[in-house]
Amino acid sequence: MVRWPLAALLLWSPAPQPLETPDRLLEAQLELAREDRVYVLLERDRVRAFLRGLEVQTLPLESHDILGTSPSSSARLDLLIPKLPEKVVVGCAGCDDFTGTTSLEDRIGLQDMPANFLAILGDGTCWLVLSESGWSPSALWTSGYWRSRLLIRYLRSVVSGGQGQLLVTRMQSEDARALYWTLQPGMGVLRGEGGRDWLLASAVVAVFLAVLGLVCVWAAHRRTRPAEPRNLGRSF
Amino acid sequence: MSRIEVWLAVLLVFVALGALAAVVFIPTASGDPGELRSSERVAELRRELGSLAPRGTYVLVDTGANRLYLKRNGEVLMEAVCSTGSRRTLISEDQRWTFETPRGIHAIRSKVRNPVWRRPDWAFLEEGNPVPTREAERYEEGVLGEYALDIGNGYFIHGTLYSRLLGQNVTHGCIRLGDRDLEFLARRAPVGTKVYIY
Repeated sequence: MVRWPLAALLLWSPAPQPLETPDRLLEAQLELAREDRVYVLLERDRVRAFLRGLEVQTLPLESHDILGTSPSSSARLDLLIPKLPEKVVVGCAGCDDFTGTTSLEDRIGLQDMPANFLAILGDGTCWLVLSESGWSPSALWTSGYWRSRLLIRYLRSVVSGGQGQLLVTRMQSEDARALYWTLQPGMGVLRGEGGRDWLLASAVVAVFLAVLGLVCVWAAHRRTRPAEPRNLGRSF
Repeated sequence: MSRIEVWLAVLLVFVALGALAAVVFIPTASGDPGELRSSERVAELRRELGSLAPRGTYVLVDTGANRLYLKRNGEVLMEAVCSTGSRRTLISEDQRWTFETPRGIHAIRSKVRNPVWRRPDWAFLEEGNPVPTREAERYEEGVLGEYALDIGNGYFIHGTLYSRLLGQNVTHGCIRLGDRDLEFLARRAPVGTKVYIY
């Protein structure tokens, strides 16, 4: 049900504003630091959470790959997929079958946070966080749920002249859960110095190889095609 | 040179071109971070950013890891295991509560020794009991520990009878500490101390 509204969100969201220089990045950070809420700075090898300019949390990244040309940018966090788990208890005073809600099983802790998730930023950027538990890069392309979103994101990136970003971050599952815990819709997300742009590089290589393959097939077909028989007239 | 060898050569050329393109594209993502780092503008922005960070004594609370840190000028004076909000939601006929420790920046507004707990409505509903009509029935002594540090909006840093649950998300939004840590914090953190919760 959420697939098409999400697709619309991705396709019509504005392109990110690139922060080409360190001072632009610091200006964006300063703006967020004036608020009384946490913001995160995504860097090449770590994610750092700040509160009023005070670094309160650092989570290491195993890898950080980007698809897109903006080296860094700033945006608000719009949406987290999956949503934060919720445990709701309906209180009932005086009911015979209601024994209270003080069970430890009702609580939500870090262990309930997803280790793989997608964060969608206000500028349309998709930030996919993957960890070792149960997910692999190949799963990204075999799961329709994720693939459709990322494909849409990729198309948007191409259509908008390469301004969009697709971020794929790998980290330890405990760190990924802690990051999900820290992230909250509306908070600022700064992207600092970028990661490896292997996705773009891979795409270039793939296009070259695909063109080459087509040329080879076409050439081979042309050379091996038997000569057209001359029309010698109808024979009976 | 056979036809296959020609095609292999062409293939190698294209692969090399592709690899070259990959190498060219990789640096474009990282930019040149060192270019303006030493400029005056960057230094000025860093100073301004640094001026926002807290000075003196402050408290940090990590609600995910359930850890509380008392710091002075960045130096850790105390690291304690605490308990923070369970994030569960309780719904009654006409009200809804989500037991979450409020994130953001707060300050210690007051400190109370030997606090008495005024039980809110949810405390009764949670136990399946009706909310009392007499105000006197709401008060309970000895359940909040020796100190309660008010951080605003009805949230406190206080002690607990359930020390075995420290380190877990089990509270209704308050921050629970063990007896020794609570006493240390109450003595070292004056009223007005900033409390950073994330």
